Amino acid sequence: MIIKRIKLKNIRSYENQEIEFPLGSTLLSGDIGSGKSSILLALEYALFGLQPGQKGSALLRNNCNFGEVLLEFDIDNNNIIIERRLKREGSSVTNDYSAITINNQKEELSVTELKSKILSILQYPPEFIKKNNILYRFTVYTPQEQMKQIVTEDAETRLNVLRHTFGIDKYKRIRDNLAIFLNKIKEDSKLIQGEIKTLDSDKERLKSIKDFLTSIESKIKDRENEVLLNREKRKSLELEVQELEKKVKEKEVFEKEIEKSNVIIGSKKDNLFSLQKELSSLERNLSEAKESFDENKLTSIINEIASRKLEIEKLNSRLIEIATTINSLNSNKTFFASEKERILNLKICPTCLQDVSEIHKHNILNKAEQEISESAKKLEALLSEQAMIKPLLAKERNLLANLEDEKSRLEGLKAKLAFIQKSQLRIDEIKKQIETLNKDISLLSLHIGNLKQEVFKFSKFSNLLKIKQDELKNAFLLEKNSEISLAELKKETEITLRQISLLEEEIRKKEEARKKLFNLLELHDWLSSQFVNLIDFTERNVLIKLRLEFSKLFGKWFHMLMPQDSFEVQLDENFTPLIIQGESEMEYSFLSGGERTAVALAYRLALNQTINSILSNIKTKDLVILDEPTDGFSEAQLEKMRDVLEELNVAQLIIVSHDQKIEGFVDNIIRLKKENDVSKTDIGLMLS
Amino acid sequence: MKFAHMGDCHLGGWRQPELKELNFRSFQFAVDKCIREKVDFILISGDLFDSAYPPIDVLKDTFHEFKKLRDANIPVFLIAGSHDYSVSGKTFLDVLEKAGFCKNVSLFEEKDNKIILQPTIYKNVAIYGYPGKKSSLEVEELSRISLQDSPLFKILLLHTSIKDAVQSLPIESVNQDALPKVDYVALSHLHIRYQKGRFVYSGPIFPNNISELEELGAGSFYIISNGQIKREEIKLHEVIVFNLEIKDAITATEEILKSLEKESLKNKIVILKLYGILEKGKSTDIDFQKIEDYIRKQGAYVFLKSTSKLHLPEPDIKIDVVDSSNMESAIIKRFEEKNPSKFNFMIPLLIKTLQMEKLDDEKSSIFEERLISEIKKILNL
Repeated sequence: MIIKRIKLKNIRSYENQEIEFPLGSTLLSGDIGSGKSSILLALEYALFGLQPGQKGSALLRNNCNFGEVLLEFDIDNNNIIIERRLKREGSSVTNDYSAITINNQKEELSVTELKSKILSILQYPPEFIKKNNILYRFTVYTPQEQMKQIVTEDAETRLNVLRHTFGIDKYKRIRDNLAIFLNKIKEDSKLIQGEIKTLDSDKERLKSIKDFLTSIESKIKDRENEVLLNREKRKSLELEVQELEKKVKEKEVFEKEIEKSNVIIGSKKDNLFSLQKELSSLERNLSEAKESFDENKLTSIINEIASRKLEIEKLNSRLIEIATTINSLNSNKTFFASEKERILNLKICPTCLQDVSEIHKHNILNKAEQEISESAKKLEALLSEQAMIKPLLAKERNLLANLEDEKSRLEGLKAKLAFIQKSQLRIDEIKKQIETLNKDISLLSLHIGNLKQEVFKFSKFSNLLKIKQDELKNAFLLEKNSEISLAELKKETEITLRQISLLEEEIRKKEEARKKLFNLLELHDWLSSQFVNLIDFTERNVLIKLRLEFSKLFGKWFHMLMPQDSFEVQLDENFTPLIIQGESEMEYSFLSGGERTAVALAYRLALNQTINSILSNIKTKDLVILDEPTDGFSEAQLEKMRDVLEELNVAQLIIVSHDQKIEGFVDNIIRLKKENDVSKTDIGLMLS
Repeated sequence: MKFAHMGDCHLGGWRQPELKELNFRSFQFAVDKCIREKVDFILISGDLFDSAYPPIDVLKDTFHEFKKLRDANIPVFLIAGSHDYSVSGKTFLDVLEKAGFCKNVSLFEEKDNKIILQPTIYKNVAIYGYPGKKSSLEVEELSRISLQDSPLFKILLLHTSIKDAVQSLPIESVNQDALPKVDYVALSHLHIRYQKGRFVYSGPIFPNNISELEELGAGSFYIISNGQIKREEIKLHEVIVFNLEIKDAITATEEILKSLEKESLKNKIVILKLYGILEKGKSTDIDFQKIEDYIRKQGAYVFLKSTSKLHLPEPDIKIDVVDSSNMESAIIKRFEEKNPSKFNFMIPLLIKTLQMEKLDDEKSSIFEERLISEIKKILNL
């Protein structure tokens, strides 16, 4: 970075001033308070904005409401202009505007964006964005009051600052972050350890399950053989049974045949019996029917029967007529008797409702008495007739009955005669039938006898069949049992295989987890030992290298400034300057003001060089700003500054000093003075 | 005739206030002794001051002592030494001389490449002198000196190294036999105890550094009375040196305190010299403040320490590269070579990832999650 010009508007003691910076060494010369350091502050403000703790009011000119800094510089032939504006609002002063112009391309940016952009342009490591502009402060511009501070700071603070500056605080961060990660690994490992705790027992379990499976498989083989055997046995039994069943069926056929024959014989015997019965009946009837039959007799008897039946009919009619008359006479008698009674008791006529006269009564009674007597006479006559007719009728009836019997007998005889003729024919027929039947029966009996012999012959198969059927049943049972047992074993195999597969999967997962665990533990081991060692080793070596480099440069610059060999300087492990007189170490406070400045300046220059050499890419290597570097120097020491400035050999060196002697050592001088509270360049830029 | 010979006073040399004071008190002791002994004059053979421009307070006190001598009528003859010499010739010795407190006897003229010393005559003594110079520049010049002769008792003041005193040390030195013959050669520059015939090194008024405190234990000067050369020792405080080898910086503090406890430190100049190669810790792990507090509490006059011989082991590796990233890569490469591991290939990525920083508004737990997930990503976990 080469600064070309800076323009200050209402910044500290400046109202409106533009200052151009040439290459080479430039001295900002002027009395104390002439505005030299203001330029450096404005330069820093332009680059990095307000610093933490830095108030805008410290930059903005009193009584002004706005101020502006414009910085133009060159990096790798790129022309860059930064503009920043401050604004007063009430009691506070804030950033109002910030912009960057790179090769005429202007971009207005926020304060943070601009800082980030500038760090990137300067190629400062990004981690420095959070570290103020410490790198700039140690490599380019250290405010005068801070020069000695870094030397007198307590060791830890200084080391921390330097760690930041050298960018090696990252090793501490690496260790801290690593500790977090190692903890995580530990947690993960514990979890995995928990997961795989049962791995060995799982394996044992798997082995025993597999052994069990093997035993089941061998059992299955046995059982399959057993099933086959049982099946064969059953099948052969089935065949045997089928054969026996056939035999038994044959026997049954015989038995049925016997039965059928028996039935036929029975029916034939029945037939025979009924024929024989019929025959004997016919024969008996035939013998009885040998009486002679007279047709005439039959005809006279039939006539006799007819006359007798007529006589009986006459008698019966007369009896009925008598009975009817008797009944009617008895009714008249009863009526008149009751009428007589009624009239006797009657006083009033029921019809005319007048009293009945005795006479009238008497007339009526007489008539009744008469009627009754007449009826009695008739009744008597009728009864005697009835008594005479009844025996006659009985007699007639007996005669009729005898005649009827005779007629029947004669008709029987007549019928029998026809019957005998028929019966004789029948008897002959029957006798033939009986003969046939007897033949049939004897044939059937013979047949049955044969059949029975056969049945007897087959009857042993039934027993055998029963035995075989029992055996078959058992064989079925055995087969079924062995099949069930086989199926059970197969089911068990299936379950066991599933169990094995699940367990194997589980073991596989656990093995993987164990592998992962071993890997994790190995990694943990490596990280916590070798990697940590590496970080320590790297840090230590980087620090050693830095310290050696730094210490060497520190000694070099110090000797250049303090050539008398009265004491030596070097750096201890904490980068604390050690001032050694003879062999003994001396406190910084024992040094004179000039010596202290020399130590601080040597430290600053050494630090600058060390950082520039380490962070070799940073773009501010060409620029060094020294703020009152010779405070307290003796004349002789001041003389030495010439060598120092020559040795520095940077493209652009800006020195702020009120020491006139420095004027002789620089290429350019910018004189500053303050008039009426306003700083300005005196005679402009003076090139030597 | 009685005179004193002193030199290598190095006033203003010590920076530790106590030793600065002791240095001065030693000088004061010598001055007082001279006054008491009523010497006729005093010779100071160089390095009265530690620098050509000593601090004001040193000058102030020195002037006071010189005034005492003048008041006692004891003149002082001196030359500049390598420390209070100035090329321009402008030293504060001039101020002393101009004030009439002393006489610089470096009087000479150069002629034909010869340096002819002119005597300063005091009573019956002719005193010659040639100043010491930086970087032993005077050695060559002394080979060219001769005396403007004098019949008086001749004394030559030199601030240089003579061959016999230096012996095998690689220091440029003057062959004493080649020097002009005088009756007494008052020498300074080498802080040693040396007296051979007429060649006498005064020794420092007060040891100038730790080694001298250890080796000499005290300051010295000489009183020569009627040819008798007598060394006067100036021992205002005993010196006690603890020379300890330290291997473990972590336990060193206790170790050192134990050693200190064995000795009485009261009023002594306590010197703690540590040497050795640190196997554990670094020198800044030693609690010097605690040690110093103990020593002070024991009433020691002053405590000096030297750790310049206490070293860390040699850097594990020698690296020529200075660029930080390359340096880191080089270191890692060397480490990997020495510590092979299947994980080594991850180192650059791990280092990069582990540098992750918590964001300003990020909760710790979120940061840790982010960190772990990033690392797991690169470790392929």
